[in-house]
Amino acid sequence: MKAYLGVDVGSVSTNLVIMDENEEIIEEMYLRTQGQPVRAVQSGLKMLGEKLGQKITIAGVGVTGSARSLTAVLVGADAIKNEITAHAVAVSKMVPGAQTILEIGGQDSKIIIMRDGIVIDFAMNTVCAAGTGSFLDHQADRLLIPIEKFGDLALKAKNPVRIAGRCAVFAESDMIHKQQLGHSTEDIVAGLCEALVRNYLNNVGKGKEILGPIVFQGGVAANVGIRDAFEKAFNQELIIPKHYNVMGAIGCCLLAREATRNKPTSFKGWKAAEYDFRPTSFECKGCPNLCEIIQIHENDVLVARWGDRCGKWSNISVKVG
Amino acid sequence: MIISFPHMGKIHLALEKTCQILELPYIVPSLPGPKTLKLGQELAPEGSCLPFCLVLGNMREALEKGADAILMLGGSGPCRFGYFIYLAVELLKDAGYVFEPVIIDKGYHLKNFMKLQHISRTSLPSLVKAVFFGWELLVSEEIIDRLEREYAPLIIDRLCFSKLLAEARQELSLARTLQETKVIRSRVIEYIKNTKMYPMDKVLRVGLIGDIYTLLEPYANHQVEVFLRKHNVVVYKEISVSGWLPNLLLPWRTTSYRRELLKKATPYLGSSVGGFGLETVANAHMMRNTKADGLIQLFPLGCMPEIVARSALNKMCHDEKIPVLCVTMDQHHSKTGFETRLEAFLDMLHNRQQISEHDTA
Repeated sequence: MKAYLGVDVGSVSTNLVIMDENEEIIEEMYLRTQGQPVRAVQSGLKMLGEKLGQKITIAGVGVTGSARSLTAVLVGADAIKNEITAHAVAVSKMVPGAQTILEIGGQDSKIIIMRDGIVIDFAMNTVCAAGTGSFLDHQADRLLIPIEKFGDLALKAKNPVRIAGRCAVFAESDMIHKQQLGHSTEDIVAGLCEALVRNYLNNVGKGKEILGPIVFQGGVAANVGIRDAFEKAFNQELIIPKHYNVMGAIGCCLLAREATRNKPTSFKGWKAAEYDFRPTSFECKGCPNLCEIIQIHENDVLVARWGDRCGKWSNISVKVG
Repeated sequence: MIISFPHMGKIHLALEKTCQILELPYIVPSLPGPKTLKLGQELAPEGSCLPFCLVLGNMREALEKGADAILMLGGSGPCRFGYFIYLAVELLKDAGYVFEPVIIDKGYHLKNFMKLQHISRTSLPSLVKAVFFGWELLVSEEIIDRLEREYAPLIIDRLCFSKLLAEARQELSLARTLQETKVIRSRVIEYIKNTKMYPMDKVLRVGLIGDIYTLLEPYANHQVEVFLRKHNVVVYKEISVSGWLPNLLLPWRTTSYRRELLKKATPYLGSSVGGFGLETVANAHMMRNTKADGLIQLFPLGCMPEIVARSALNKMCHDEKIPVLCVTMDQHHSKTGFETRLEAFLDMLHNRQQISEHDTA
């Protein structure tokens, strides 16, 4: 059976999706990146290969996420796309008619405005990561609440406290001060959820024409506290797609199908999970830019190089020799 | 006396040339980079914007290399720092550096010219001539840059064009007479007139707006123009040193320049909001009316004038249906996040272009 592989490697999670030609999801996988994108992708690939390797042939691979260039080298990608496009492509297939997408991931939060299935506007947080998944993770950790229970706890609050949501550091000190004053954990957690939503709407969502149906996705969509705060703010229900946390990877499958319409895939095969990938880096001292150059070695052969501004390193065809 | 100057775009080429003609010893600090930032940050107040840190870093590097006079342009824009350059001078003096600041700013022309004449030990006419030649060189450089931004993505034989531009830039740096610079300029223009090009509606056109330093200094904008050129996007940018300085320094031009800007910015902004806020809105509005498919606003973190302009832009992009991508630039060393946003923006513009083609067809 022909199938497509989509890989989304973000700051917090690494997601892999296998989709068949009829746009059915055969397998989805949500792994923690834990700061080691190479290891995360390889372990995902290994698990998928063992489970499905005999049954399916990969006809195309798409990658996205902040580690997309690295992942593209690891697996051999046909489509390398930014997260916004990948998410929008997935939503236009999975939730036809959606007009607004709220996506909150590990380090990024974005809003995508769609009309007739096409992205017409978007915004993404630029300077501060307050209100994204990794900040929630960190706070849950500090309060010793499992992240899965964080949202439920917020729903139990009676008087959510006010917390500054503009900056992660200010939010944290506000939370600590409120906790030292004696506010209950539920009220603080609920206050945090409201602050994050307020911050999202004031920064990312400012000036955007938010119309329903609104889709909420990304890892944070699992958090009912945040969802509740959003629903209160918009005064309408949000749609949380079934595969809300792997939508980027689903988009990649669709993009990979598009990219391999007239050409064979560059997929390296399941065996790529066993390859020895070793990134090394050095600082180029050729000019005052002092670029940090990354080199990727596959089984001791240099296969890719990037990070320079001038092209002195990345333009060299590294596959020769 | 050894003279030096901080970088901003290509301004150093003009100043270098002037110093060469006057046979003045000079030092050019290295182009802004991580080292410059570190030098600047050590002295700058907490929360200073990126341009301030980089300018300060340049000045400090030059002083450490032995410069003892620093030439600076346009001291007091009403930005968050108000007395931008004056603050930098005070910080450097507090840190123990001894030097002579030569600040070219409104209202100090005569005094500064006398000072420059004293340093260069030359006659006033030859000083004026040298400054004028440096100026013309800068104008030529910026014209070539503009031609590259606006035509390179359209030209079919791109390699030949890049080679021509590289040659032109090299010859400019060696030019000795005004006639030579004009010949080089017109050669590039002639080439563009006669070469084969893709039709204009096949490529995306993006306007760059925002703070002047961020727009002109490649390190401060993560080389946004190179990125856009690689993606075959025509870039419009109205801000340049040669466009800005005369309007700042020549008193008979400032009023009409401001009036012109206000006219272009109506109805979205009705007064100067400091820095380049008014220019941002005026240029955005003008680009919308003429040519651009989308706009990218770049500004340093905490830049008040641009934050005000951004609110006006929000309203404009809603009314005039033009997408604007606002990006705050700070000391990120990694370009990944920035390029993700740019890529997504270009994807979106492509989609919109296809829809409008579909609608008109």
